[in-house]
Amino acid sequence: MRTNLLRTAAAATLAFLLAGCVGSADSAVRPEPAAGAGSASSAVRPEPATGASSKIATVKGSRITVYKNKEGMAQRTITSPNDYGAARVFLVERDEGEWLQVLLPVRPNGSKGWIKATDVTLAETSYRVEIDRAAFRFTVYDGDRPVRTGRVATGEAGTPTPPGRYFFTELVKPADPGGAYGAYAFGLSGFSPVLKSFAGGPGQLAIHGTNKPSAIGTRASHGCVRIGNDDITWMANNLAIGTPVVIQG
Amino acid sequence: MKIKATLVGIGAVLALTAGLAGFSGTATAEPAKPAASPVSPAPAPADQRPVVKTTGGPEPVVARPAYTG
Repeated sequence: MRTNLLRTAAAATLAFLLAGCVGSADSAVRPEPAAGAGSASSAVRPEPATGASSKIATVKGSRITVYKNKEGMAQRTITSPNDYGAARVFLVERDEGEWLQVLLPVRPNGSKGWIKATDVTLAETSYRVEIDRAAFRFTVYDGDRPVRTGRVATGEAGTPTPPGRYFFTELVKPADPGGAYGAYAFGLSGFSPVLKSFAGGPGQLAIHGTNKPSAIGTRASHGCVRIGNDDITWMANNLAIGTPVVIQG
Repeated sequence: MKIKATLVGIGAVLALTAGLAGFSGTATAEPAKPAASPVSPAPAPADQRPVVKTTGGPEPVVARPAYTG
């Protein structure tokens, strides 16, 4: 009788072990999909940081309301044209149909807000500019293809060129082409972290030419990115207001 | 008596194994569906909106720049 009970118990144990193996093997080859992963990206449209084209929003009227969120909480009003007389543009970071999340040309650097798509016209560029501070080099990409590269000067230690994602806000042809800004200057949407004002302006960064080409390849500026006059002239002829600029390194 | 007990034991093993394997199969054949996205789809497809390809060479503004040099 004791032997029979032992046999029955052994058989039941074997059954449990077999059932456990079946379950483990099945779960190993059928992982549960990660909850929520990828679901948001199908509903919203984040603009890619690299590679594909970027959207540029140009303000239609004389002013635009920027909202803190898509529920319509007003954050600020921005006028157009800007202080240089150029049409106000924003770089679109997210396109959600009626609403666009845009990078703002205000302090602190990297500020974003929401605007209504009906308040702007949209354009697209496949170009972007990348600045490598450590290598003192810029590269212009058309999609994934580098189309122009050259040397740069960046900010001195006390007035550094801050890394970040910006865009061109206007193209200025200096009244004095032999001056410190060289042949052209593309204003950027970012600002010096140190200088709250400079030369009568708000400490705005720019990429511009130079009258001191020997300083290119060094830390020489008050925060701006200086490039050769040939390079800035090429940019002025080929790049649009709103083109994204990434400063890194 | 021994033979009868052995047969009962083997029968119990087979029944239990088959039952548990069946439950396992049913559970894994229909994995839990991922939770529905909390973000609603864009009301107006952005792809259908007119977007103009920009051309370079904007008209420059002649001015005295006031950048950080």
